[in-house]
Amino acid sequence: MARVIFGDAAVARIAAAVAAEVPGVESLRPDLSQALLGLVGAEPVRGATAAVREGRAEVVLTVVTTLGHNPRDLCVAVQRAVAERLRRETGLVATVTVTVADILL
Amino acid sequence: MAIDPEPIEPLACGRDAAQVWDHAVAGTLDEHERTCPHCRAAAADALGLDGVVHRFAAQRPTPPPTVLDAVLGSVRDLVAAELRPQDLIPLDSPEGPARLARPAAARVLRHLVDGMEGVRARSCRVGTTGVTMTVTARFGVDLASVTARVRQMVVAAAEQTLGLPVGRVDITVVDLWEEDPWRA
Repeated sequence: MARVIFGDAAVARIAAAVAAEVPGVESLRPDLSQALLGLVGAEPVRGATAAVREGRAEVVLTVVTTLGHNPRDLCVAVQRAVAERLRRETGLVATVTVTVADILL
Repeated sequence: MAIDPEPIEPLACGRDAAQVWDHAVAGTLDEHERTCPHCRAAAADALGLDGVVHRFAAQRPTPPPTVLDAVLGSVRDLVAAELRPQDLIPLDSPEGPARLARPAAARVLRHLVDGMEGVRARSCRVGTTGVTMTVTARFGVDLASVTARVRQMVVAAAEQTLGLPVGRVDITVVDLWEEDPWRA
């Protein structure tokens, strides 16, 4: 039987796309290594990393929001949306860590 | 986070800022609260924060080019913007680890206190046990009321705009300023 295996980058890209659609998420913020890779022309997933192991995924997201969106509620909304989509599309059980890096005034 | 057990100073008229705040939001200000200058200032703070919460939540601003800026900016800026683990405050989420950057939280609190009548925020530190803030006040503003109002703003803003329960709030009035008569 054929098996579809999802790689880290694929999972990270799905997570980033889902997170960017959550109301209140202005953008995803790349960390230092992602920003530097972007500078040299590579296309890292900005603001999202994922590690897939045996049916489980560890996803780490860094987002920027605006004043008026409660960061706690925003984190919960992003975590739910990302975990739900990953479960549906990849069958992976995901632990989603969200960091609100900035709040635009 | 433990609730601060110390008694909280009232407004100069003896009323509790938190109660006046609740009445203002609920629209149930009594006769005294509508006429007393201390209570009216506290009520104005409450409505100001309420306006910010609802106005900004309703907006859908266009994303500023922060990603592009970050990538095109110097490597030094990137290193400076990198969040260290000690810069993150844990947020209460049942869905997994959630964190908020400390500098962003402090900037929001400073911004909201800056919007209050007769007060300007100077420094703000969001620690693990609470918030430490220094402010300046306009000459002639009642200082006891100012600290009560700032405390109430910080507690309410932290909960409503940040989702962060705040224990202790320490406020120091570090300076006073005089309104420039030529600007009025």
